[in-house]
Amino acid sequence: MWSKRVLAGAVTLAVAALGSPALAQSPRPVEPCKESIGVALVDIPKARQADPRARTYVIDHVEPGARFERRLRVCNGTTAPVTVQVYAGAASIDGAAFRAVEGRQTNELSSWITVAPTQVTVPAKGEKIVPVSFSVPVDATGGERYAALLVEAPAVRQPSGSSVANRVGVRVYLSVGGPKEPLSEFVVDSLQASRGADGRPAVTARVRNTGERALDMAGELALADGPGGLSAGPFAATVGTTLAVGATAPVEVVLDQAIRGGPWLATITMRSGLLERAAKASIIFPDSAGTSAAPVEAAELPLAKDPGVVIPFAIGLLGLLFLLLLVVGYLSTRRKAREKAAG
Amino acid sequence: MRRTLALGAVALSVLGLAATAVPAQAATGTTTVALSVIDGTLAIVTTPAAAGVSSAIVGTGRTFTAPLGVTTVTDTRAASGGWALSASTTAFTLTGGAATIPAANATFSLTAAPTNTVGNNTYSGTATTTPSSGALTTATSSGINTATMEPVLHVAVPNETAVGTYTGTVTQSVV
Repeated sequence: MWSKRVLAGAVTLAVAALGSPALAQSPRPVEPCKESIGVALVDIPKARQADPRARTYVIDHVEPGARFERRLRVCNGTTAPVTVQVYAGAASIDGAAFRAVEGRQTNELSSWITVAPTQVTVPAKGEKIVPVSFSVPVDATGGERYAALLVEAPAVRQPSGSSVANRVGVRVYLSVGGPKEPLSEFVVDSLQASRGADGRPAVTARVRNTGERALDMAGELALADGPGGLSAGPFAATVGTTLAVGATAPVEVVLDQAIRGGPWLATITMRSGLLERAAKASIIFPDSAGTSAAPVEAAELPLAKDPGVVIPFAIGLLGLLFLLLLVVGYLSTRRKAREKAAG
Repeated sequence: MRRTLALGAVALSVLGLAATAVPAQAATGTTTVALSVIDGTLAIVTTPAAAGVSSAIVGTGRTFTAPLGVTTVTDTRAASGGWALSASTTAFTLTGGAATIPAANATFSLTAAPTNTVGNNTYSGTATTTPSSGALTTATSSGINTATMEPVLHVAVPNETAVGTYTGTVTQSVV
């Protein structure tokens, strides 16, 4: 009952925030676009504000017929006004990377997106807010689709005679389906130790997307139980790997030059947005540069924490327990007092 | 005294339960409620190549190579997951004529792996020559970063090409 009331309060607050004339005011930039044309997403869904991916890209799950708005902040760091074209273009996940399809090609998702105005003049050292509306057809079939919200600067003629135009974009990962969002899930299949040409040890994790939505991988690797009982890390995994649904791709972690051969117990924690999984394997780094050990099958590790749900729940339970103890303590004190009074 | 403590415990447990309830609601993924954030940007700029670069080739059946200047990508997004740069070109059209050299005759490369001016990016896919429409490099970094790189355009000029000046437009995309 209580939680419901608090929840209702939160929803009211969120709706009020939407209703406020936020569209009229342009947010101040944290970092100016230094001598270039830049773009950032202004709005993120309230429900996804903890998800780092949703802060950078348009990531959502909607039902057919849904309509929603997002805004782009287009900034011009040059000393002259620039007129840019803003439009939605086709995008795909290709070679484990998210790519805007070249040219002005459209796809189903980009055809659902309307940018108005499409031509925007951004003042020198200034910025403009560009509204973007999404309108999903009522008869849209389920599944995740990709597009990019692109800002195209005019072509600049090079001394060689060719012109170069630049585009910078915000990725869109839009899932359409029923009220329940499709599952995001992945598995770390194996870990492979190697030594690069420069002798630096590296670990390549093979990650398989077993869910129904694309993933942008990040994470870290820690080494333990090494030679002389040494531990090392954590070392950050390289980002930039986008896993399409059903795809498997390597994610590399480059370690410190000082790491010896092993064996080591390697624990890798991989995440995409708020989804996190861990796996372990015993690995040995090869001695010579430019060689790789055989991949070792990784065993999935249960996660120690799921900060989104477990901690508040645990706090709740602890609170209830504390309350119970207080009640029991109070009752026993009262009984003792009564016994004393009776005795 | 004891009553105050008990009240504190009640408040605590209610907060805990409420916080649990919110993510459960979030799972339905409503998009109607949006929150405004102020974040950094992903930005790109190209400065022209040094003047005096020869763009003329003599004869046909050769490959025309043109530096495309210095491209700088700056990523100041707080939660960046890296970026991917790709390039494409239009067909090259003869000035004052109808002849064209198709876009498929073009390839791109980078003179070297991108140089980090801010941050510690690593890059993949920089060593290969990419086809007329394809990936140049993928930056793998989290955290604010700025990188500079020098893309180069290569155009294979067919044997039967009419003599003259051909122009086309190269588009670089970063997402």
